[in-house]
Amino acid sequence: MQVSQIQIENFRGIKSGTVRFRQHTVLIGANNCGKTTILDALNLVVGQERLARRLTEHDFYGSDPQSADRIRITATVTGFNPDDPRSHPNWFREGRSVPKWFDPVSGDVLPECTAHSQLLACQIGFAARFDRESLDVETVRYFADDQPFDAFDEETVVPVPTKLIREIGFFLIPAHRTWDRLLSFGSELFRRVVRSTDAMPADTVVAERDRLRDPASRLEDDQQIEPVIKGVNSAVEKLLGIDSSLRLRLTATDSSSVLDAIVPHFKATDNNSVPSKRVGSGMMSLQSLFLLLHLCQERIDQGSSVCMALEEPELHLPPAAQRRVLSQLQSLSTQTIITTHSPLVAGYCDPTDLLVVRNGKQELTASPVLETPLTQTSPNAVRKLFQINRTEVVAALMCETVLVPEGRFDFEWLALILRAIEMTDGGDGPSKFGVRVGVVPTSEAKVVVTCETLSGAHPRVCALVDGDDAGKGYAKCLAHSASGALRILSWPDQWTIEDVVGWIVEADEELLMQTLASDLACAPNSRSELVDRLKSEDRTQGGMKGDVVAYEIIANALADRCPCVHRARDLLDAIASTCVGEPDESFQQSADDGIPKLVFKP
Amino acid sequence: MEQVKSEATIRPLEAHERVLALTFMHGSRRRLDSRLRGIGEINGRHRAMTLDSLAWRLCKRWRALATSLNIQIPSEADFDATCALAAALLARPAVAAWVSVAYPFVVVDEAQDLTEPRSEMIRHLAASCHVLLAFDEFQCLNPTMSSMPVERWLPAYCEPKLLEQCHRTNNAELLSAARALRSGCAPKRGGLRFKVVETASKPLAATFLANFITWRKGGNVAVLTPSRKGGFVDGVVELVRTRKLGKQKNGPYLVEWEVATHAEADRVATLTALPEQCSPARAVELLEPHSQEPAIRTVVDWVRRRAALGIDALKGDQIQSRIKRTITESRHFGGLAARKYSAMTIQQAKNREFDHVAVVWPYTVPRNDDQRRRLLYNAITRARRSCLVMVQSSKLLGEAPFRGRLV
Repeated sequence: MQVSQIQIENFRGIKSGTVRFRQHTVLIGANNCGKTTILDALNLVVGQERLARRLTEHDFYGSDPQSADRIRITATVTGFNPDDPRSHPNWFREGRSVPKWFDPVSGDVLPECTAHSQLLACQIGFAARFDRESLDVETVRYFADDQPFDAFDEETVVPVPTKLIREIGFFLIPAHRTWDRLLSFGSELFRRVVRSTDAMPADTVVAERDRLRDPASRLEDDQQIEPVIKGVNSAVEKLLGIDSSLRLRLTATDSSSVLDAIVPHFKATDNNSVPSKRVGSGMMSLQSLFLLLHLCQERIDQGSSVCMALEEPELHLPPAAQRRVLSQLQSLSTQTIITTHSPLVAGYCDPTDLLVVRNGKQELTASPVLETPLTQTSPNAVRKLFQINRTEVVAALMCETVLVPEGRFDFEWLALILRAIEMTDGGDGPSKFGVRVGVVPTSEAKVVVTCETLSGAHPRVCALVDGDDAGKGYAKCLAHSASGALRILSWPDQWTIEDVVGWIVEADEELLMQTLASDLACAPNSRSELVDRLKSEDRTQGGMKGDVVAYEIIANALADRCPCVHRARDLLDAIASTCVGEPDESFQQSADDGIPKLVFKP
Repeated sequence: MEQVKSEATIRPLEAHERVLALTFMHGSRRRLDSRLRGIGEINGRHRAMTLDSLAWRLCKRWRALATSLNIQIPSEADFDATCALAAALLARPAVAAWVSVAYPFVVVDEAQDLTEPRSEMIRHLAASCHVLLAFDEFQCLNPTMSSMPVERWLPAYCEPKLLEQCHRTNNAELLSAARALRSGCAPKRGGLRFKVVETASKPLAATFLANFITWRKGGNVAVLTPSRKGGFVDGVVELVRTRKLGKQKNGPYLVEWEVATHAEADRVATLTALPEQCSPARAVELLEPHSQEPAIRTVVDWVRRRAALGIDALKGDQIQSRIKRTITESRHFGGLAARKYSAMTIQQAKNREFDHVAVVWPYTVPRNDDQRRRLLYNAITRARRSCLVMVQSSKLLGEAPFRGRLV
């Protein structure tokens, strides 16, 4: 079984939104875009544990719920085998769910099956309301027959039995996990592993309980404390006339307190072991993850399903282990839903499984980085985007705005300039560009097709083209393309990125040229020669195009010159503002050839 | 019930399965519920409900489908439209299967009372469930129903099995009187347990009734009448309530007229004049002076709850229909307090049973012979132990149902 879709309304930062899950989904996106909220919403609607803390006003969108406001979450559960409601009487019958049909292509949920590709589905709803008199949050989990409706004002609302919820097998491992809690009997997860695998060490626990009830050496008989105990006993006897015989026992001497008292230890040196709190978290997270994997394995072996939601698998795990743990988790679960901030983790996944989450003012969206898998007819530039440069592309897509420059060298230069700015922190805080703009390594100047491909995944894709004839051509194509760039930025007439570098050099030309003269293998005589050579690939003539070592030398030199850093910073800030739609006078609207673009004014 | 028992033995119920018992009215629902409870083979795994409530549940839960078919969900009070929609839904295999997975066996009692849409519901259920249908067309008192809707499809479904034995009573006199009426013959008038007497005046009828109550040897008594028009019956009951009667000075007996549910509902609902639309706070203000009525208290809670849910405006008629519904429900599900002596019309007594039945048969009885036979038949068959029929005149005694049909 799996959750194919979730609709969220009015929950925390999400006003409304729909996320369609794959078998294995990885959610990426900027900080605070709602990834965690999506997992928490899943936990509310199909999770087996009540949320540790109760819901409060802050769990409602806007934090000030009125009487009529509701948190509403609807999960569409599919994966019934076979897709015939009569085969699942515990799910579909009078008194349980009404069968629904989920169209995996459109995401529509239909009341009757109209095509073979549709999947039998059960819609489970969760609703919460804040009672302004009792100040309590009332919640209900029900079979969502129809939408929208108020589950608190309906007489025919049917609650979902917990037995069915357990069948889905949803487990959430939140980012604020504390592994030592996870690995003790105090943890619901751990208890569930033990229970579901019939691994409760009952005999040992009962034996230990008996030993604690009647210990070999009794604390109250210890010579040091004996007089105190005797004093207490005689005082009670005098006062009440009864023999109370105070005894001191470890734990409450029942089996559940024995279980609660268990603290995992790890072997440290020789025969010594140390409690988990004192072990590095890497070791512990590995052991805990194996515990989870074991849980998955057992459930799958029993023919049950496992839907594992894991926040930030990169936490505490060395990169080498991340990939293996991830692939094991995926192969052992019916469904996985993972959030990550690591382009590395995201890079392990198929781009069709990667969903970019964005939370707009009105609506949360989650679109796949790539809608359909790459085929042999996919253009080379697109393939490179998702195969060779996947990590960089994913990192860019996690940002608020995506900038598609004309080519690979623009990508390199922008990254180097940004690094130069960030290396010399002039007290202005982090660069706006670095925080808000993700640059894509475009290949083969395929700026148009790259914009088209990425705009499916990200609503804010901007293009940056050269001021030469080719660049003007791209701008024209972009302006006419249906799903192209949101904005077209352009360098000044006849400029390319190398002219931009030259312009930054100009800010402190004299001193900078001196540094370059000593650092570069072949000293340029003038700024214009430097720019010409940067544009040239002819190494026999001192051409430096694509010479990453030379690029680094120039970037390092720029970083040392304050006026240059300022100029570069202003430039990148202007790009960032223009991309996000805040007008900046450095980029001016121009409509040459009837193509609306924003041209840089040095 | 024997049939249910044997079916449940041949094919035992699975853990998720129940026997579904359906009736038209709540009285028979309660009776069917208690009968099914007695069957060990189904071990309490049954659900008894009225067809109207099944219809309402179906319409509510499948409203997404109804909407996609462009059918509007009728209001809850519109029972016929609700049943018609439920029948349309049940005609779809997915919906019928959804019901039959939970309820492979369906028992329908008093099927003679089913109108067209309810009969259609059963017809569609019969396509996927095993349906046991019980009816007695002679018990149908609805004069607008010329023939039973179930009879239109039943012949194609199965051959009805005739049940000779009446299980309410084993008294031979009562049974033979009922049989005679069914076949259009005159019932035997003078027996021990079934007696017909002529009582021309109110005091005479009242004395017979007081004596009947006195000599009954335990059990409850219901005074039934085909018509309260003309005031004859009301006068008789009033005498029994207030006087000692006859040589033995029997009585008085506090015979209570049973108020019809709809009349009671109308009474309480119209206690307060509600505006067309008002705020929940205003509605509470208007209702609270009448909170001595339990139904009003329940509705006040309902209004408060709606205010808490953030509903700002309530419609007056919505509140009123809520009051009516509360009264109807509390009567149907709480059941009426079993009174020792009660009086009511034969219509009101439908689907109920009493130990002793006294029938007062006044001039104002309907003209139609067949309808008269049905009325008396229904009255007699309410009795478990004895029945006394008091006829207002000898002229009436010479007419149907006391005279046989001319052959």
